[in-house]
Amino acid sequence: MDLSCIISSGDLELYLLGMLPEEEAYKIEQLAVLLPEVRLELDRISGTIEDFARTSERNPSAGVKANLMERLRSLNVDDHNAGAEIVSLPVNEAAEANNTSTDSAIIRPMKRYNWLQAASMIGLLLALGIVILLASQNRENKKELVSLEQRVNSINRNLVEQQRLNLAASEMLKMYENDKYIKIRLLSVPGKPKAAAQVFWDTDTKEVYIADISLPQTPSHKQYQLWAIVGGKPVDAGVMDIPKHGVQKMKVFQKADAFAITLERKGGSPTPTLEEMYVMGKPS
Amino acid sequence: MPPSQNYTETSLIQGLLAHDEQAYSYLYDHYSKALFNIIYQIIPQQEVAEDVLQEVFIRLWQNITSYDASRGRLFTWMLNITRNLAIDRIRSKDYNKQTKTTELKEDVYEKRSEQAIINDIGLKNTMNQLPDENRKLLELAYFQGYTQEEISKLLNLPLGTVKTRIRSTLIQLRTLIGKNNS
Repeated sequence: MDLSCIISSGDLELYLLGMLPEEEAYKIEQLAVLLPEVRLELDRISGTIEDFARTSERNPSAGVKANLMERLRSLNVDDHNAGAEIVSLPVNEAAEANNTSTDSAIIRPMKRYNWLQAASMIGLLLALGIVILLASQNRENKKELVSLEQRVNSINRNLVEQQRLNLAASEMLKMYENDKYIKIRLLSVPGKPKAAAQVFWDTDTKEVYIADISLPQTPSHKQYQLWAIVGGKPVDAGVMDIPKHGVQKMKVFQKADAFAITLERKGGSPTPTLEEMYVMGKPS
Repeated sequence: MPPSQNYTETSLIQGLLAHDEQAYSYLYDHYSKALFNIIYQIIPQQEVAEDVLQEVFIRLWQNITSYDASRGRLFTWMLNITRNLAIDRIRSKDYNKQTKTTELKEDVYEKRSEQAIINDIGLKNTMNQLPDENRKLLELAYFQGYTQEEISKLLNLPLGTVKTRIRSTLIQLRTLIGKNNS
C-alpha cells in the first residue's frame, strides 16, 4: 500500500469523523505532518464536513454570541490580573523581610535581635532553599521531558517510515500472488555487481511496474532507467524514482521481448548507455 | 453573515493568538454555525448545545497556542475540540441525570436518527440526494457516532467495505455540496 492507498483507504475520513481509536488517529496526525498529500486530502475532507454542517438550517440563538463575548472579555481581564499578582507577591514579601532584618541589624543593638525574628529568618531561608531546589528540579524535569519528547517523536517517525515500508511490501506481495501479472525477474548482467529487480506486467492493462529493486547506490546526478526491448530495439519505459522500496508504475507496453535497467543521467536518456546496463530479464 | 473585517486564515490565527476580540468575533460569525451543528448531532438539544458551543469558544481562546498550522487547517482542530467537549458533556453526570442513557441497539437507530435529522430541513435536503445505502451509512457515522465495528454489524458489511464506502459517500457529498453552492 502506498500513498494513494493511504488516501483511498477511508482512514482519513474516519479520522475526521472521530471514528478512529486514539492510537490510529495519532498515526494519521503523524502521517499528515510527514506527507503533504495526506495533509491536503485531510484538509479537503475537513472542508466537506464543514460545508455539510453549514447546509443545516439550524443556528445557535442570537443571544449566544453577546454572552460569549462577555465571558471572553472577562477571561482577558483575568489573564492580566493573574499575571500581575504572580509577579508582585513574592517580590514584596522578600523586600519586607529584607527591610526588617537590615533594620534590626543596623539601627538596633544586637541584643534586641530577638528569637522570633531569627526563627522567621531561618524559615524564610529554608523556604527560599526549597523554592530553589524545586525550581532546579523542575528545570531538570523539563530537560528530561524535552529529550523524552524528542525520543518519542523520533520513534514515531521511524514507526511511520516502517509502516510505509510494510505497506509497500504487502502491496508487492499481493502482486506476486496475483496471476494477472506476468513476473519478470531482472538479474545482473556479466561484469556488473550483483543486483536484481522485479518487473510486474499487467496482462489486462499492459501496465508495467517495477519493484523490489536492489541496485548499487546512484550518484546524485544519475538515475536508473527501465527499458523494454521491443522487436530487438530498446524503448524507454521510464526513469525510476524510488531506489529501494515500494512499487512504481512505469509505461504501458503491448508487447516486449525483455526488460533491462541502465544507469543514465538524471531525467533519463533517449537511448540506453549499454555499458551501463545493470540488470536484464525476459518473460518466461 | 457579513464579516466585520476580512481575514485570511493566517491573519485570523494571528488575531486569535493575540486574543484580539475582533478576531474571536469573526471566528464566531464564521464558524459557530458549523460547530454548533457538530455539537447538535451529538446533543440534539438547542440549549445544551448552545452551552457547549460557548465552552468550545472559551476552550479555543484558552488553547489557541496549541494549534499547529502545520498539522491541518483551523477547522480540523476546532472540529476535534468541539467533538470532544460535546462527548464529555453527554457522558457527564449532570447530563445523564436529565436524560436517560440510551444503549446502542438496532431499534434505537431509527429513533435517534429521527431526533437528530428529520426536523433539520437543510441537512435532510443535502442527504436525500445521496443513494439510500450511503445516506444510511452517513447517518450512522456522522450523526449517531457509531464506530466502524458497530456499523459493520448493523449493516452486515465487512469492515473494509464500511471504510471505503464512508470515503465514497464523503466524496459524493463533496461534489453534491459543490453543486448546490454554485
